[in-house]
Amino acid sequence: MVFFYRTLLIALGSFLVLLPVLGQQNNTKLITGDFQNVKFEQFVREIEANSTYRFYYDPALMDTIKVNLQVQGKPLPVVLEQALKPINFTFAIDQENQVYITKGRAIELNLPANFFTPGQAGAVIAQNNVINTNTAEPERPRTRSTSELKLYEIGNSRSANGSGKATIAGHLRDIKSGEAVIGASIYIEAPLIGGTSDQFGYYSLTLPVGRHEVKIKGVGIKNTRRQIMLHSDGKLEIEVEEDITNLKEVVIEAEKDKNVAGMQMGLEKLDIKTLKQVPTAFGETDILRVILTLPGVKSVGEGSTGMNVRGGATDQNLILFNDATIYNPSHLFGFFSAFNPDVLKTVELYKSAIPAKYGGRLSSVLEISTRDGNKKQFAGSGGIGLLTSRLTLEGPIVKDKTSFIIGGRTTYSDWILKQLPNSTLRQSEASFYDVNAHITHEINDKNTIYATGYQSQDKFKLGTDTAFQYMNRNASLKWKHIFNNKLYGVLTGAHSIFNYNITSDKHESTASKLTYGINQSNVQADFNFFLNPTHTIDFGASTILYQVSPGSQTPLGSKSLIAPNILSNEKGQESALYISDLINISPRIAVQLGVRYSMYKALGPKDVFEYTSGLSRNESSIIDTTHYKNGEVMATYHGPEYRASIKYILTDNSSVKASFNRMRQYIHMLSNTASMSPTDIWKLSDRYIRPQIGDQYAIGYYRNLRSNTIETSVETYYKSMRDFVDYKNGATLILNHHIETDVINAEGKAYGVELMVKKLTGKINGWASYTYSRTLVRVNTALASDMVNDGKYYPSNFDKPHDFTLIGNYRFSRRFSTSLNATYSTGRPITLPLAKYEIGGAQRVYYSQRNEYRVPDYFRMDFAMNIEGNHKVRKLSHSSWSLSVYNLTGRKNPYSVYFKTENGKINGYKLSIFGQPIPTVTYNFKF
Amino acid sequence: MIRKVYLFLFIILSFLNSCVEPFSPEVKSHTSSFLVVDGFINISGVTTIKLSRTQNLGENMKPSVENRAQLQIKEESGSNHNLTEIAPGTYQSALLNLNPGKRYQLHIRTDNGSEYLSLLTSASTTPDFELSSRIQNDGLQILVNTNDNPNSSRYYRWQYEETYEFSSGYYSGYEYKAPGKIEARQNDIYYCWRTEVPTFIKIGNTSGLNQNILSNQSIVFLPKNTEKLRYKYSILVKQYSLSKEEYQYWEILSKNTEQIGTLFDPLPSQLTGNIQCLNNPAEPVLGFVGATSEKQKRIFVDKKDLPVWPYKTGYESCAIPDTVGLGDAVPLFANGGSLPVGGVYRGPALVGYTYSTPDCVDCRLRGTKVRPSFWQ
Repeated sequence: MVFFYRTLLIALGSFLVLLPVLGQQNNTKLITGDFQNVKFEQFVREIEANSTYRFYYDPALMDTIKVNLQVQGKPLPVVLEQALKPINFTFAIDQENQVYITKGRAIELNLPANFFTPGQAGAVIAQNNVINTNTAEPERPRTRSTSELKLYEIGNSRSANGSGKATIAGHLRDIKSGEAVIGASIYIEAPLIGGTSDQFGYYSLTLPVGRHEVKIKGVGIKNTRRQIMLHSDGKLEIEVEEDITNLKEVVIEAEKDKNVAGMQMGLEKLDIKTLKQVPTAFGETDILRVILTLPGVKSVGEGSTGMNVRGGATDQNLILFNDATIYNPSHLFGFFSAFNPDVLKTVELYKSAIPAKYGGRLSSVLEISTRDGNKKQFAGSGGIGLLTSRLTLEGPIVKDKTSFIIGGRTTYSDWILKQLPNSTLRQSEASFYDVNAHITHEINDKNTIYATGYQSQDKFKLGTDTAFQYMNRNASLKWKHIFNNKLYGVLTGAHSIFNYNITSDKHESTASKLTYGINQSNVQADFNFFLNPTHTIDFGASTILYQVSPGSQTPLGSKSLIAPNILSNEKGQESALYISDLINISPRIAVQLGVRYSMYKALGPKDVFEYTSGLSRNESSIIDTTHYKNGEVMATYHGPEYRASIKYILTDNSSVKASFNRMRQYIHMLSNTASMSPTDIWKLSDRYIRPQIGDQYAIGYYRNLRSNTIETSVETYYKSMRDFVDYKNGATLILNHHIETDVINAEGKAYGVELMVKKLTGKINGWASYTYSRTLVRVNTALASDMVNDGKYYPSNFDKPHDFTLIGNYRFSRRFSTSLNATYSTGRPITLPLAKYEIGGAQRVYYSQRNEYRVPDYFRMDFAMNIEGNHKVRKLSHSSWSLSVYNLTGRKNPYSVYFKTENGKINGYKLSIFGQPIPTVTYNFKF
Repeated sequence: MIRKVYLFLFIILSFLNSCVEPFSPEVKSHTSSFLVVDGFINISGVTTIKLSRTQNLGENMKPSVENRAQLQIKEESGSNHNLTEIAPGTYQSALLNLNPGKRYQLHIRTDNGSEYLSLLTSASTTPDFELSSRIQNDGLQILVNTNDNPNSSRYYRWQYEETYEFSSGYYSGYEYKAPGKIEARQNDIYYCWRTEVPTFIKIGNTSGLNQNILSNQSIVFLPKNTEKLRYKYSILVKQYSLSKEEYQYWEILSKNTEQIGTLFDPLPSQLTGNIQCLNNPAEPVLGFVGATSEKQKRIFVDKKDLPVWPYKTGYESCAIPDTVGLGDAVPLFANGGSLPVGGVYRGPALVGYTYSTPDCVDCRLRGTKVRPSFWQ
């Protein structure tokens, strides 16, 4: 039996490629000698002097060992066995007469017999060409591996099963902080079997038993490897080092071949280091702002946080913050995102091939996860900027078991307003804050609990008049239980609240308070089952209870004459079951098939108006009212959501992926403004407002160049959407007792091509992307008065066909780096007034077709510089300065175009927010 | 309230280096302004059609009228009726009694030779109606009750004119007579009539009902403290039956509010009407020419028929009259900026005048002294 194999030598680190022949029967050289109380070192020297054998061993282990032996013409193995067995050392001899001496178990010089034929059933052929004196130790509860060179024994050699395969599982953690490492690839190269660590840092690999080198690569960590000897199922906790050089370094690093080899398409993943380098207007790292630079993600204007993913509306994005839904992700009308960058770990945006686990929104899933906090030592970080400051503290509560992270951020714009000369502004207030707290507790190695709390609040007051306030409050609790190496489950409970209120107290008689609120409670159970290397199955169930207070206006103070106007509450329940299977058909082809079945019930109590059929629904077509009791089902919608994707690896550095997914959405945002604003109303589906359904087909080609340092991709998609909410002309959305009279179900289609080139490493790195995309809407009803643009397709509010983004970084040295961003996009569509005329004695305005025209194109260039303190790993605190200039060219990009009637004239104006270069400076620290 | 929030946003933005610049978008060829047709074919009465042109947004003159056009009411397979220009841009027919069972359209040939034609529309006969007022706790409701054949049109539009008596802030007992004389006032400028023609579009329908009856349809609501109800109030309501298409036209027109084009306003929609340019079908023509008849009703509401309600005068902002000595009075009143109110006496001697601004004294600035012909 002749095998080609290669192995990495532990302990000495030699790298050998050998052509072995089994057994030592060819080694005819016999040993003769009298060794009486000689040091092992001397014993070895004598044998080496008289033979071709070369010994490899750890001198530190052997320096106290004495040999007492008298041999006459015996083969070396016999001699060594005599010498080593009493002291529980073993040895192995290879074809080149190299002798490896180890304590306990011998080095396996050959690969298992079925090494190159994965999946083939059959027993491992034991190759006991070495004498194995090892007595298997009882399985240790946990192996915490930190060494690349040490051989880790996994499982019990005696209990090795006959299938030739075993599953190894565990967590990837940061060696310094104990934080889970998410999304790192963990794999063996031959045969290529691998997986990625999940949100808990958990991984599971099913490998042939035997000796492997497991490689670990990931964002922000040093690439590393572990030598394992796999006997049977077992655990391997892997601690990896943070890539210390990229402490706020300007690097975009990803799993190097993930672009090509990863299953997921349409996934954009950013880690906090990537996020931090992108210059922003106020010097504050802003995840949503960075996401807007990715292909396929757009927004209507720079003061708005609402994002449009692949032609979807701003309400079609599921924003999860540690699994709790966030309804308004922005501060100060969208100038800041509501997430403190210091507590964030990763941000993942799914644009297509959305996993079956997620549902409830049409366009995308944005998953934001926080760090777990440093499990080893107390640490902190913060930043001082022009408008905001932030501070984050973290540390262990119980070392290696329980950790916390708490972060807060606030603004001093209030203080700035007070300094202004304008008295109206002096009396104004504007403030916001957000607070995050997260605790991770590892009960034992099978059970972990994660608890997160989050609150963000904004307050504005104009003069002494109208005060405005909105708030997000979330809590989530997750319990992760590992049943065995192949199956784990996560039980999540979360509660999200979003509400706003507007109080006006300028006149006592009209003082009033307008409120809106939504809260959702959800429970979900997700399971991950690594059935075998071919099948990985995810399944689970979830249910969400929505409760909405759609609006109320109540008098403020005893002198107010405002009559209370309270809309009745809405209630709905959304439940879903899902299952998906990732099937590795061959190393080149993998398929993920999934289905999610979701069901929604609109629940009473509520009074529902009945309308004349065949007429546009409005107040005059109301004919009756139906009363539903508490909990009574008013409407039920349900249906399957299919998820399918396929990956085909063409060559080592290119692949093709395709996907189809269907999404259903039961909650709609009502906003007759094109951007997302804090006064938007979320509305549940009901008798009249049907759920939105969207299908997306996507196909992409991925190719890595120059040994994976340059990633390129082309993705194209076609999307059809139906029953999303559009508005009739002149719709009233606030305090509307019959919102169904003002909204209409529309259909839409979107398509586009996204090109992206990323350079991941080197002094110059960054990405460039170009997107051509269209998104069109059609409102075609039987009723002429409800139709828009004669029932023809028209560009949606966020249809911006051309979009080009360049994010470029240049690193002069480890302490000094710069970045330059440029972005160009076609202007947003707009409906323009074209002329005015008189009919019936009144001035009327003749408008263009809806969205027939566009505002001027958008172009902006930003520049940033990061200056780091020195890079000593151990020092009290690391600090850095960021200097940035937003809108370097000072182009006056339109934020809004509007028209005003002045002296009988209708004049057009263009408002630019950042019409000049805006320099900012931020000081960041970390201790 | 929302608007205030955005106003606030704008103020913040102005603090953040934001800037506002005039913006005139480049729009597709606007070489000529479009024809605007205002009016309807009156099947039992005089048809009045006004022709004008659209204007650029930046103009602030009255819209230009369309002179010397030839207009014709065309009956489907029937006779034509010409309109004549009675005033620039205003065209009138003779008193016509057209067959309500037929369909009609309006043909226009402008002076420059362009021809326009409205779509054939079936005529609706407007039913008679009752106009009444109802006293409520918070004011006065003006109501319409109408009852028509279930097979007739179920869509309605109303126009109304309100006329009311009012008085100015201060009664003026003197007047300045050039040159240099101040005399007792001969012609009262305290009581006036004022007529308002709201341009608000008021429509309603009975399509959801199993009978073609509109009961107590609100036309206008007068809050109890309105100055309109201080003395005597009259309202003239005109009712029109509409085709469904015309109803939808007015519905959209009413929703195309005067707020325009900002990011935060409701989305307006393009609306033209039912008229086509025959020479150039792509040319937009604005207006909807329906065929219907008009029914009118007028009622009066006298203060003495109402509960005792507090009222506003409309002159709340007027300051208390100031005084001027005799010596300064003539130059003061000669320049017209002030009007005398009453005399100031020391004992029996006139030593000066109280005075106020014309806005507060002269009711003719807001109304007319000419008694309306219909006033009872």
